Amino acid sequence: MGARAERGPATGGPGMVMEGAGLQAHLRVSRPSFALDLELVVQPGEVVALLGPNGAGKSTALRALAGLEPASRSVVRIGGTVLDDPERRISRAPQQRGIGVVFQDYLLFENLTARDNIAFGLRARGVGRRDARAVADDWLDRVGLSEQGNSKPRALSGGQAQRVALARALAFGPDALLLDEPLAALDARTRTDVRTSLAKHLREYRGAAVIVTHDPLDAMVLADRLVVIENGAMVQSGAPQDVARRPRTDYVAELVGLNLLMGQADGEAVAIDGGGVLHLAHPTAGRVQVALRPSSVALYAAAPSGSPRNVWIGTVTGLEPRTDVIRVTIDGPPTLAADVTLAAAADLRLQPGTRVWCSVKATELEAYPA
Amino acid sequence: MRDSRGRPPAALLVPAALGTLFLTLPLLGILVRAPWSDIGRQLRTDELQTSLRLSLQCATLATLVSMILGIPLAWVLARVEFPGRAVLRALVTLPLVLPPVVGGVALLYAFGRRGVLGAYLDQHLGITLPFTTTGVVVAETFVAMPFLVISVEGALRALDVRYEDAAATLGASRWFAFRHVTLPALGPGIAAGAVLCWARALGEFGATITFAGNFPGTTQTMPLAVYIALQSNPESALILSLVLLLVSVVILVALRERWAPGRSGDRRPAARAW
Repeated sequence: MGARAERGPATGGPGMVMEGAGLQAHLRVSRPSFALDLELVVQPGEVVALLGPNGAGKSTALRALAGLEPASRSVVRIGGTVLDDPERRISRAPQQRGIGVVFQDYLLFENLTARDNIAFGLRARGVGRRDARAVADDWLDRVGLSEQGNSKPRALSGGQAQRVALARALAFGPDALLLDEPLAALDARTRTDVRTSLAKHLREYRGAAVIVTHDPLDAMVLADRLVVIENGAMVQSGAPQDVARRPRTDYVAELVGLNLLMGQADGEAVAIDGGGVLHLAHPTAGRVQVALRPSSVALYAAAPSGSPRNVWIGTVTGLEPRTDVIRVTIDGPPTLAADVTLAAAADLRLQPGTRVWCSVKATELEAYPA
Repeated sequence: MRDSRGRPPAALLVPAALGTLFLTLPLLGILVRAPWSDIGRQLRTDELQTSLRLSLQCATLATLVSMILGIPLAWVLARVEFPGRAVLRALVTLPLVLPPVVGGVALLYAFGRRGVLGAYLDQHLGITLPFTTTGVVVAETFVAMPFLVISVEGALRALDVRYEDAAATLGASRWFAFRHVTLPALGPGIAAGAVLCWARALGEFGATITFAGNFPGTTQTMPLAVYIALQSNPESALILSLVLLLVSVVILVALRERWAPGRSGDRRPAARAW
């Protein structure tokens, strides 16, 4: 998987692409209970989101890129510079990599003001106090915190702290930018605002940016490309809209809210693994994955009349209230989830064990080679 | 007490009460027998003033030396992995449990005129440590520094190392990160360690009298003065003890402020695996 062509940077404006550096990495980390093996290429100006369930290795990948993972045997290059290469015994310390990191809980230095936090990277590189503070003031302005320059981290709200952390990671002019769950610590309302401003700063950034998240919305809004990892390996990579339409694994399907079935296509008919046959609108052949929205599955008490070609009987196994629908899981075959309105669920007297007729239009099925 | 599990049993309460009496009565004894009417004159005597000044100077110097050597030592113990680290920690903290007199003897055989290092110091550099004020500082530092090292190492281990990671990603060398990130965050731990260290140095008796002797004006610190005075002038011993008791109480209050809960006020979420 992942053999599809790399998409060019979508965010760089005219003349921006040439200035930033791209990132190429083959990340390998092995610990007794866990192994990560991930090839990652990020174009200059491109934002890649590493998406995956807890424990998939997202943060380990980020730590390896930042040089903070002792068990790493990775190859990492930024632009023309080799940062790590075990075979050539190259392994640059974190402080010599020039990679900006926004940590999940920000890790702002409590004893320093917001301004001095932002100036820290320049001060550490020997820039004089006055010059470093001038740059920091400029950054405070850009992230909309010109009033908070003298505040200590404790006095900042979560959203403000996040923006100081971003400014701190960018102020020294890093060759690449890494963000670890940058919005996870924020409440829902702040999150929307910060997500918008973060997206703006990421668009302006000219180097390679990698953002780790488990939130599909963050990934869709912030990233040009998604890389989904499970159990330390990539399972899917592509533009957000492609991943959302054609999930490759149950985890991704769940994440984007789709049913995912696997089967053997022969013309318009797909023999679903585990039983049942679905009919497509367009003929195809071979192993396919079929994705469909739960809301496209219609339920009936009796055999429906009319046109639908995909009709079968199933048994309700679970009911789960969602925001404005009921998510009904139905044992088929095929087995899938359907979303119905509360009224429909009442009409059909749905409860575990109820037998229902299911139907779905051929045009609602998205089939693609597995 | 409001304890739903019933009254505390007498088998525990009685010994607890006896223990309390045992610990507090002697101190009351000092207060009761102190010559309160004569205290102003006694406090102004040259003997007391000299030994008090010497004690404060030596304890403060010993604390400074302990900080200069002990903070880096604590950092190495907490942050650098090397074979034999456990052995080093045991060696460094040995003076905590070593009888101070033995410490004094050991110092004599290291820094005395016939000592391993002392012979060299004496012959080639003309430096003599035993039975000098410098010797007092050496003895006090030997006994008190482990308190500072242990306290600072504990504080270092309690710090979130990810702050040092963050400093590194920003380009900070380990030395820069130590000065600008670690040291400021370590402030309360260092202060607590320094106070403990100073208190231990102020009360030092065994190693001091063995290594530095008991010469008024040069090596006779307060504890030594108390011991001598007890034989010749018990009233003076009481006054000296009263002063030391007062200092101890002040230290205890200062430390309790330091260790009051909620000071570190950590609003960050619990550290995740990254």
